[in-house]
Amino acid sequence: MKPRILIVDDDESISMLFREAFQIAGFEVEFLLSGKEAIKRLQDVRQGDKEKPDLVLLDLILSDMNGIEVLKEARKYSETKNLKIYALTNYSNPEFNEELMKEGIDKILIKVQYTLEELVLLIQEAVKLK
Amino acid sequence: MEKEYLILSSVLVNFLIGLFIFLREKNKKIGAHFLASVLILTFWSLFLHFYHSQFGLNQSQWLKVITLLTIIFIFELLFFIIAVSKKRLKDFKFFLITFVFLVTIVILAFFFNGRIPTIVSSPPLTTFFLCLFIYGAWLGMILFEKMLKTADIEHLQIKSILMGFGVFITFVVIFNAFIPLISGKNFSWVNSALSALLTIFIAFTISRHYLLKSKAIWLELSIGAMGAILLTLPFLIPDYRLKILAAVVFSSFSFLGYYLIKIIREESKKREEVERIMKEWEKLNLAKDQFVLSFQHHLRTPLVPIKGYLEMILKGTYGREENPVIKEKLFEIKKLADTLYSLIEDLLDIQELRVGKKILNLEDCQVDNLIESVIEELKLSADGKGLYLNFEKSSLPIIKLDKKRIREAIWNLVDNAIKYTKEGGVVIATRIEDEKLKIIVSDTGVGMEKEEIDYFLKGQLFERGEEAKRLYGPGRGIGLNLAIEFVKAHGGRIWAESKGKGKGSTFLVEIPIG
Repeated sequence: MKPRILIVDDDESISMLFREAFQIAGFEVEFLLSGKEAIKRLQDVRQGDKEKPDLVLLDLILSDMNGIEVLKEARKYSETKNLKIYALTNYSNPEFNEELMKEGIDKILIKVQYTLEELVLLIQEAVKLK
Repeated sequence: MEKEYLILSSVLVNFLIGLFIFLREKNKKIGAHFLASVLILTFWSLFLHFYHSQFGLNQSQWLKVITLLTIIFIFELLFFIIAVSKKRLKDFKFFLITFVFLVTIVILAFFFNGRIPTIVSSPPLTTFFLCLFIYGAWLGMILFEKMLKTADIEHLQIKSILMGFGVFITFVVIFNAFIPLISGKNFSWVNSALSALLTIFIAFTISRHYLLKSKAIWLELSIGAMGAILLTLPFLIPDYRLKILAAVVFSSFSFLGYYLIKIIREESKKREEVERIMKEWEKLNLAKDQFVLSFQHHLRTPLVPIKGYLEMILKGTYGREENPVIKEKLFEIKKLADTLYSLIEDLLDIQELRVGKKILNLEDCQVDNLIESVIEELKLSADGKGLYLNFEKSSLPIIKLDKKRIREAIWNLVDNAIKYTKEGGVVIATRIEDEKLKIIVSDTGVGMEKEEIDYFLKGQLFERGEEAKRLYGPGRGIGLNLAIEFVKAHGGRIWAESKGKGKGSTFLVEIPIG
């Protein structure tokens, strides 16, 4: 079965790019454009309406909220507590990162610092480890 | 009779100034404590005079009053300091216990003997007052400690208060103990005048929130004191011709003093203004750095699809591109996107270092190897211009540095040297001097005029040398800026030397080690 990743990013061109790259690499890709949708998706997982993704790639600056709120929401409930969540962002700030770590982020990646090839490799490793 | 006038006017001055500060001081607590302290101090000096002249009461009765007033003064001082230092009463437990113990003994002595025991007896400045003096000094120490912890205006204010008290106590001891002991005469009437001087001094420092430097205050006070001395001269000199001379000296001194004080005031005002502007500037600068940082997201985001799609296109994800021209141009675009990427990352790196959000990644580093790797990388571009690129190696010890950033700093300096040299070449040398690592990059290139170096040292790095601009068109001043920031982050500095145009330049990096 294909590994399923969920991308939460409000930038459409980036989402399109990632979807393409990950689909070619053999992932099942689902993407959401807002924090609200992401929280709804987590709720669906809890209620058993939708499948749990193997990995969430979460942007931190979303149009409707801060990515950290989505992370907190996921960590609040037992069903999604252990969900693997990577921050995939272009915003880095030590204080912010510290808060993310405290809230239990699994990894913080700066989008621009990786080539697609490197990124795909990283995610493949992450899903394999699961 | 004159003494009584002096005392009376001192009391009046003290009261008025105390009241003035009380009404004007924004911190009501401090204002109230100031007024209370001033009043106690005034009455203390007044009663000390009454003690000597036995005004109304006898000496032993006056001594009791003075003793009680001194105790009250120490308490008041304690509360004043608590208000100023924002400490709690709890912190002064030891002080309070020992002091209350001492006070109880003294008060008991009042009642049981009907008179003060011999340790407190006349003259007033004996053991008991020595004890009080020690307590006063103790409180002074607390204030001093507070001073060390504060900055700017508050620091200066506390410093001035301490200095004022120090001078006051010194004079009190001189006039009440030393001079009476030596001459056998009584100078207690001076105390009132001294307390008035202290009040004026402290009021002056408290009321000026944008305090002039204390040096200026001292200068103004000395001018005042000098004027006062000169003013008394005509009265003391018997010869009327000399009287006239002294009067003339006094008037010209007053005239000069007036202008001197005016100049001091203006200068201090200017300095305060400059300091204010500097602070403002620093704040704005930090705001700018933070703004750039908050913008990082927007700067980086468009680069992700640009880089990503180029990667996919060049990899053939969307089919092979047969046209070699298109292929070549695509590679060119990819190269430029990478340049843009590293520029943005460098810019963010500098900003983060500046606002202290990023720290150096220190690790053991063999600088010689680092330089050799830079040379290897830049050898081709030097060769291409027919330049030599030499390294005068000196075996350096292992030094803790941020490898990546120092390498980048050296890379940029060498790259610049090659860029701005047409014939001859570039020499890199290293050495350790006075616990500092020195890296020297000299070239035989366009060189710089003194003004250009000054520009460089002042950090206006985007101003490239005039000649360089004319010869080589637009280039990257940011490389130099980056080198400077990275070296600065290591606590080091970069500077440049040149014998003038066409005579080459030398860039020197200095980084403290260990």
